[in-house]
Formats: sequence, structure tokens, C-alpha cells
Amino acid sequence: MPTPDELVNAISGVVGTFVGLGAIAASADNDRFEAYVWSLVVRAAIAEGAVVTYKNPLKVAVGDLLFRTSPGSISSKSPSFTHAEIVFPGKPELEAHVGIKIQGKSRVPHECDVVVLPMSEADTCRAAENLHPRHSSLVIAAECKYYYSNLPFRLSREFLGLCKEMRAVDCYFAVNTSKESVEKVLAYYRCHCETLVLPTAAGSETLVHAFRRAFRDFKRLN
Amino acid sequence: MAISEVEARRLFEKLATQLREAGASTLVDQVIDEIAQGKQVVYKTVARRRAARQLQRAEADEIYVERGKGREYAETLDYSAHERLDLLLEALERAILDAQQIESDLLKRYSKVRFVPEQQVENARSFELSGFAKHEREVERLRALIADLRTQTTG
Repeated sequence: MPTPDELVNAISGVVGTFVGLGAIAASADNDRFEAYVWSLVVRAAIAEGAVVTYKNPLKVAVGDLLFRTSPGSISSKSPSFTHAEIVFPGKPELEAHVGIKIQGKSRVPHECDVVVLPMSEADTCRAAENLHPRHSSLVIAAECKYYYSNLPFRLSREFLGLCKEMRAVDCYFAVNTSKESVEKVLAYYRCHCETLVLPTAAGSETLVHAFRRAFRDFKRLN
Repeated sequence: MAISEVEARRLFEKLATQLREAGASTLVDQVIDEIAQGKQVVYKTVARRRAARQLQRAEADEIYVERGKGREYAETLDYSAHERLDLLLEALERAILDAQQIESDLLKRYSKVRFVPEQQVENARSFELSGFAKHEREVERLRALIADLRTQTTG
């Protein structure tokens, strides 16, 4: 049986191989996680009866997905980033985007990781250069965090700030890990907070259910 | 049989150093930040007596909360050496095992997923999902190694 020292050496060796493949790069892990949460939004929309197609900014259907590595403007045409077009029969069309800026209550643009908004609002912004969608138009605004350690406490304060600038009811905090103090603060302020959002953990299913509820409310109100 | 606190501390230092050398400094930094923040806050109800007031220390890292008849104190504790080592192992699981799960899940649904910057600037990074999906055997090996180390350190 290997000794603890031998195990540490072996672990470091395997980790080195993965680092060579691009693993343990915080920004790439966050990008991948945002795409995953976006896929949960799509899954929720389909479960609620929507027809979903993947489109580029020119509204051409695409098969391969292209996402931003850092937040940008919904109006940018190149590179042609992908969004999901979500159509519920007899309802206004929606779009789901990754990493775009949204105009908050103070009229200052904020970076939002995953956003669902009406196509009409997206069209208005695409028609003009550098116009950002308004917070009041959002159906879902998800803040995604992928951490290797447990969540730093400051993230709860940052999310509370985002809820203040958007409508709190539309905001979702989706994270791969957890921390009791963060969850406690967000529960105190009645925020949507989903921890352990991973393919094999319960958090993903709970988040899909929360998104489904948001889509159901959208259908009832429109 | 569990290893001693001294041995757990030595293994933590060794693993942290080797991970930094392997290029995983971000992961080690996040764990060290968490250790510096301290362990989960524990709430203690203290009887409302005059003597209890003497528990307040301005210099202590304690938050005083009054709620109802009792008094609640939020306390920050240090992580033990065993807990620190486990935090590092958990971080590795999230960085590689969980990340691989997410990538596999996305590639099950979408044939090709790429990430590029909106504006081409110097040192801008682009990448495509596929790196982890082809290395399931190494992922399983890492899972087994971490499990073995946990068994040997916790007994």
C-alpha cells in the first residue's frame, strides 16, 4: 500500500497532467460553469413546453455553440455569439444569453452571467450600437460562481448588491460549492440561492425547478 | 489509524507546494484564503446575565447579535490540520472531477462548444470543450488517489 507521501506525489503528478490540458484555470472554469447554467435554463424552458433553437446575432440557426470569455454587449455582431431562442406557443418570444451587460436601476450597466429576456428588448438593443437591455425586462438573471474552495463570504454581499440593482425576484445565485454563512445571509434576504449545482448533485435539479417556475410565471403574466 | 496533527500539517504543506509547482496556484490560493477566513460560524446562545456582558471583547473576531431573550454570538474558529488537508483535497475534486462532469454533461447535449473573447486583445484566451472528456482514465485515477489519501490520513 502506498504511503501518504507517495500518494501526495502521485496526486501532484496527475494534477500536473491536467494543468497541461488547461485545467484549474479559474476563468475557464467559470466560463464552462456559466454555459452549464445556461444549459439548465434551456432544459427548464423545454420542460415547460418551449421550442428552443440556437441562433447567432443575425438570427441564423447554428449547431455549434460559441460563448464569450468575458461579459460583452448584446449588440456585438462579431464574433457571432450563440443565444437560445425560446418560444412558448402564443407567448412573446424569449432569448437566453451568456455574459451580457444589463442596465440596472441606477442606469449603470452590470455584467450578468446568464440572462433570459424578451426578444423584443434584445432586438431593440441589437438595432442600436452598445445599448444594453433594461433590468425591468428580465425574466431570469443568474449570477454563476465556480469555486475550488468553499464560497468566500463577500460573494453574498456582492449578490445582494446585484439584487438591489435588478429586481430581486428575477435574480438567481448559482454556485458549484456551498458555505453556510453565505446561504444564511441570502436566505435572510429571501434571495434565490442554489448551491452544489453539478450534474450529479441535487442543486442542478432544484435550479431547473426554480427556472421552470420563472417560465411558468412568465406564461401566466403574458 | 489517523495521522497526527503535525503529520497532517506537513502533508498539507507538501501537497500545496507541489500543486503550486504543477501550476495550480489559483487553487492553493483559494484554499489558503478560506483557511485564513476561519471555520464556519457557530452560534452560541448565552444566558442574559450581567456576567455575560463581560464576554464582549472589542478586539475579538466575534460578532454580537441580540435576538429575543437570549444572546447569540457568531464565532470564528480555526481549521485543524486534518481539516486543512481535506479542504485542499476537496478543492482538487472540484477543480478536476467536478469540472470534468460539467464538461461531459455539456458535450452530451452539444457537439461543439467554444469560448472566445469579444474583442481580440493581447493575451486574450480562447478554448474549446474537449480537454477533460478524453481523459476519463486519469480522472478515475485521481479520484482513487484522493480517496486513498483520505483513508490513510483520517484512519
